Amino acid sequence: MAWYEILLVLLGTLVLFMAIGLPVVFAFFATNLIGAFVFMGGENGVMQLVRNAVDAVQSFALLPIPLFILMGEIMFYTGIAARAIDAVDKLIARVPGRLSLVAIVGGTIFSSLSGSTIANTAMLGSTLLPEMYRRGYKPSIAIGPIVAVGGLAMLIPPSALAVLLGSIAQIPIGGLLVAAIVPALIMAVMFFGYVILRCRLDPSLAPPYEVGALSWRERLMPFVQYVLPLSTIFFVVVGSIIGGIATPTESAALGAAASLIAAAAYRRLTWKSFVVSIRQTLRFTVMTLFIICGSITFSQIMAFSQASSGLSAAVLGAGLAPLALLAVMLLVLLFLGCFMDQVSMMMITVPLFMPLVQQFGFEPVWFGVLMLMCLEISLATPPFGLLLFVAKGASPESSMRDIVLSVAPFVAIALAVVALLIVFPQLTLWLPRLMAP
Amino acid sequence: MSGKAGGPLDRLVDGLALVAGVLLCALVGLICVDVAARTFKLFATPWTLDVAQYMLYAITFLGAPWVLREDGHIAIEVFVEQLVPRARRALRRASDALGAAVCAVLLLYGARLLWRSIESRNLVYATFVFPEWYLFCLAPPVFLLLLLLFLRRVTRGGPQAPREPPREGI
Repeated sequence: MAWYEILLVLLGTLVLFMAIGLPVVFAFFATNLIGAFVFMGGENGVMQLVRNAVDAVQSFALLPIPLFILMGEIMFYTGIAARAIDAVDKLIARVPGRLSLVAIVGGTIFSSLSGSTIANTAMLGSTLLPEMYRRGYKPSIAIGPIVAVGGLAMLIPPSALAVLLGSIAQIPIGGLLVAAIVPALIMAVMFFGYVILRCRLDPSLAPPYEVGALSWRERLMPFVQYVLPLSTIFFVVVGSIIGGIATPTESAALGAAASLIAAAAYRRLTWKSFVVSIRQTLRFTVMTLFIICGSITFSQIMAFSQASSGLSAAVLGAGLAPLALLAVMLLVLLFLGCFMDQVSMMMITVPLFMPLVQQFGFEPVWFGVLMLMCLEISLATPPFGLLLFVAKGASPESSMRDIVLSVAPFVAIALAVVALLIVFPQLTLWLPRLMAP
Repeated sequence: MSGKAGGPLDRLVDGLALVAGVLLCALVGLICVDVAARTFKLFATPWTLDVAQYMLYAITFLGAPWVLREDGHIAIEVFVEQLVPRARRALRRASDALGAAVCAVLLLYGARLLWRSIESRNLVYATFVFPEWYLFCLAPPVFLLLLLLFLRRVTRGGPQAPREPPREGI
């Protein structure tokens, strides 16, 4: 069989198994069982698959994942995050689209405390959407910012998916975590600007209303009380990585412990909220890591069957310009993102893309950030964009069409930021270069 | 972990998830203590790295049946949901049967790998030296539980718990 036939059969089988509703981890296991038997020496290949599944998650690099998820779940279930949003709400006044801006600022802050895009979107949706609708906000300016900023949790540390990508693509995890901060902030600023511009042009989208008269002290104190102390957690996590004081795993553990201490200090840590946080962390950790167990052999099968080397040779032989190749890879990610979850996308594309990244001499951290951006965008693209469903859950009265249309301008902004990062790689790379060796 | 009463299978699945949850808490504590001990030069814990890795593996495998029982493993439902209810049910049953078949094969080869490792008497040389088969002894029972859960879904026509709205993904 030619390499492209092997590639088509393997990917086709995987997609078929996923499309019939088999959980993706078992779709990977099923495809890999066939691939391992055919291309890796029959029964010995299958035995190797089981061995790989057991070995896959015995990795120090993956340890930050449960810890980052735990940070977000504690913030979410103890209600600390909602209080922080409330503090931001008091701070921002007399601007067009005020509540949408509160969503963007609050979501960016929560992204720096949580590794979970779902928790971020759900929290913003449940706390702000009802108030937005009560104030007469149109869905196009209410839902869009929440979904858009919800995805920032994937980019701003602590990001569980950045850890996962770094681990499977062999990209330095500390560098990747730090590199995504500036692009995420650029995106947040552009979302902010877009909301102000849109609401100035069409004030009916977000009717202005009188915010209760508060003194400066009343405006600032909640921010000082509920946001600034939490921000120190972010600076401990990121600062310890940049300063070379702690590995990502150690900084994640410090972050998780600091979240627990903060929840206790605010007297919000109850046995119930702790158990729910652990339960949700366990659920997302197992779900994510078990996919690694199921899919880890996929890259070996690609290598044994010569599919990945065949693809690399074909791409090199085609004389594609590096920029064209990059565009193709990112478009593939965006296309897959319409139908697939982020972990599966990574496990399918990383074995194919990373050899090309090396051969074309792309900076791995820069490529990793671009990949994360595409994964983040695909959270909001129909029909499978997870955050669209989370927004639907928070706003059942909105039709899916309204939700998709409200998110579309923010997706366009995010794509513009991707283009910006391609043109100016230093936007991504300057912060990791400050890191201690 | 689910708070549901059930038969022996459910109780076993819940029990393993409880162990996984306790291990998760212990993992956080272990790494924090290690960082503190090194930072303040209190004591040395060179075994932390190895133990934490094995804990992560145990958490993943012990929690996997519980996540399947709770219908928490990510599945792409977008195509299945386009079908008429009867076809949808049939396809779900077929995919569950395929899941059971996959787990049966993994159980078989997991058991063979375990047996081969016991026979070979290979040792793992990490911070601790121990027989390699210790690492493989979790896989066969976990795949057996997954097989039983898939078979139950086939006979009951779907997962026991209704699918939660998409809180899946991170």
